[in-house]
Amino acid sequence: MKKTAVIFDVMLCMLSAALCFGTKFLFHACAPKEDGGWMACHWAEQAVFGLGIVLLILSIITFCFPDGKTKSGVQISMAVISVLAMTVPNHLIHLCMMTTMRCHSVMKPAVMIISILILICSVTSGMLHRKEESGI
Amino acid sequence: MILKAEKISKEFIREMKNTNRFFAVQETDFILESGSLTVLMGRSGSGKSTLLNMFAGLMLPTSGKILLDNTDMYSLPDKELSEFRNRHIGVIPQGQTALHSLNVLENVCLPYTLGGEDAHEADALALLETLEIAPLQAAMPAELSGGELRRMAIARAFLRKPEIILADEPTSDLDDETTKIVFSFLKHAAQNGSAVFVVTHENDAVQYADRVFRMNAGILEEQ
Amino acid sequence: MKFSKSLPFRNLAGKPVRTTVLILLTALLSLTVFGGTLMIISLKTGLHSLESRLGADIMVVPYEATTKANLENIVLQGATGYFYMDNARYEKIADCDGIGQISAQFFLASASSSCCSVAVQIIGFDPETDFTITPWIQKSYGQELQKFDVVVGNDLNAFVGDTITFYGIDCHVAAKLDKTGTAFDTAVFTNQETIKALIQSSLDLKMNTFQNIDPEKVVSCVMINAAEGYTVEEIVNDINIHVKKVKAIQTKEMISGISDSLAGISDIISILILVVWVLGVVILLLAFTMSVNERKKEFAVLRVIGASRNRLAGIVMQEALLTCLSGSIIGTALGLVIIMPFHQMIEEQLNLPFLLPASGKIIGFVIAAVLVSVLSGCISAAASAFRISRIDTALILRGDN
Repeated sequence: MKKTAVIFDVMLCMLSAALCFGTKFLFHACAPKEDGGWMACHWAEQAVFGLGIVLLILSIITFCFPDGKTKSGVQISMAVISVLAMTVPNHLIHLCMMTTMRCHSVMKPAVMIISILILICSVTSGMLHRKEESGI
Repeated sequence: MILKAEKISKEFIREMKNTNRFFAVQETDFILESGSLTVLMGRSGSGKSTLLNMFAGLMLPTSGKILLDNTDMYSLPDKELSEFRNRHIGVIPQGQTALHSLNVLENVCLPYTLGGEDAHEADALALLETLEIAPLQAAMPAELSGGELRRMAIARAFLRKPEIILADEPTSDLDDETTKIVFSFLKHAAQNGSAVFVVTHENDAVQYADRVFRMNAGILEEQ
Repeated sequence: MKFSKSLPFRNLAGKPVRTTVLILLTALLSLTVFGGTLMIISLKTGLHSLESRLGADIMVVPYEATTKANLENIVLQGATGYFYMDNARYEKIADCDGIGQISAQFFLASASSSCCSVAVQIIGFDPETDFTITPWIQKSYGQELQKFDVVVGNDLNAFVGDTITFYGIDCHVAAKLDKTGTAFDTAVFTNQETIKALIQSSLDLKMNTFQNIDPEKVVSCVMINAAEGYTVEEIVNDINIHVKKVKAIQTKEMISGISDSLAGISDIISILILVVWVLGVVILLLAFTMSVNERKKEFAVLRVIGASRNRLAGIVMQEALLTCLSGSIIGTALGLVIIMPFHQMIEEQLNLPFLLPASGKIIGFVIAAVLVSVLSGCISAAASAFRISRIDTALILRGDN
């Protein structure tokens, strides 16, 4: 049981890093305009990057707590943040005019998929750590 | 249950000097009776295992019949013959015969679990206890010595309390101490009503036997 | 007996590396079959959608619109642009023989929409005569468009009730069209009254590349359907000969390039599916043969314990079924995760009309892909299963002595 939970913890760490750095460098939003100004989607990218950093720090912190219930608590908060990350592109912060643009066609689905994976992993790992604590 | 062989023989095609025909077992009559331990000895290649395989329903004789309480064994369809072997004949084959994906206890329980029946783990554990390998019940076959694997195969053959036990070199990998345990075990089964047939090179087996046969170039002789 | 204790499951669990490789292989097989088929179907649906959206036999545009390939870029590639010709030429075209239906359209590109820097193509139509745009606007919006009402394509990030500003004029989004998989998904549609006001405003703001036009006296493009008894070629020739400075184009010809590239891509994908399928089946065949060969003795032991020949074959087939079923489910799930969220990106990369089929059809493809992969795996395992059911137990048991 503990081994499985650790696998999920490591996966959470990797997924958080993927969300954080991937949004910035790999599946980033649209390029700046010719005049150098940013389009709306850039701010969505920044917000996801910020949430990604928070998730990454939380996923690393999990390893510092020996207690299963504390780990579980941190991971539940990660689950909530992952839902927030899902809602940033185009719901909380508007993306560009055309859904054919990069922010819609690349960044949004990538953020959605990674956030869903973070949600699944954090809930699963959180539950495993809870059981571990109560000795079931 | 009586196992009766009527004029059985087994012939193989084999490249030889004068002829291609090779009789592993010459025409033989034989009766394996309940409640007795029969020992068959002989040199390697004399046809002992061939005879045992024909008794087990695994090798069709070239001629003759093998009757089980007057039913011709080889007239049964494969499914019925297999079911019959599962319920009434315990075979201890030569060599290592463990299934490597199952642990010791699961291997022993196979005669039941193969057909989807309840595993009868308590019976299996009792057998492992008698054969002194109970502590290894959860071990995987790869972790066991040759002797331990052999004892596991013996326990498996005995699990369904079969009326007929056919053992092919059951003590070949075992030390003297364990060989004694195994022969006492087989003798005990015979005393409890089973028909036990043992193919062996072990001279000590004679002292446990009710009847002793010797096989020489496919010819069976009682001693 | 619990499934996890069944012999085929334990055999697979006992060889985790081999089982994982086999599962990944079937996953690849089903991913290719599912993904490939979905791509081909989506491209075909996209082309069909483009054909029906063009909705006219002939398009007539000012000659300069064809020299710069402006029209094709707008209609097929989703680029923005505009061009105008005098109303008198529209009248002349209408006088030609064999015209069944005729309607003018007006083009304009937004300089910079309220949200982002990307320009949007605005297409105006005459509600009195239009026969190409109105039918599919009516599917999303049952009423007539009022002045400054616009209908937006599905790929525009604007919704009913929103306001979009073009050249200082606020327009109200009355409806959003269904996805078509074509360049029209990024366009904005409106009636001629609105577009003329927008053109005038662009001229007033000096943001229109044309300076000396009167919006009331120009059209951009004329859509024509042939009357019965006339061939499209006849009318095209007639217009090209008799009306100066215009070019009549058969829409069928215009999209022939697209259907050619589509056929090419479909062929490549079909070959890919075939190659992966054949390779997959061959590898599975070898893998099952090897796996059964190295366990011959175990099967002989099962036979000694009382397994019938059919039962041995059944164990091999159950192992194959378990492996292939889990592999193909993983493969199709992966296909869904790649294609569904990223279909827009695929569309951009292919630069061809691309329209995913309805969800019911996609579920059908998922089931079909799983079945094909499972069936392929079972066929590959069948030979091994047959061979193992024919083993000579006595010979194998003597084998290692």
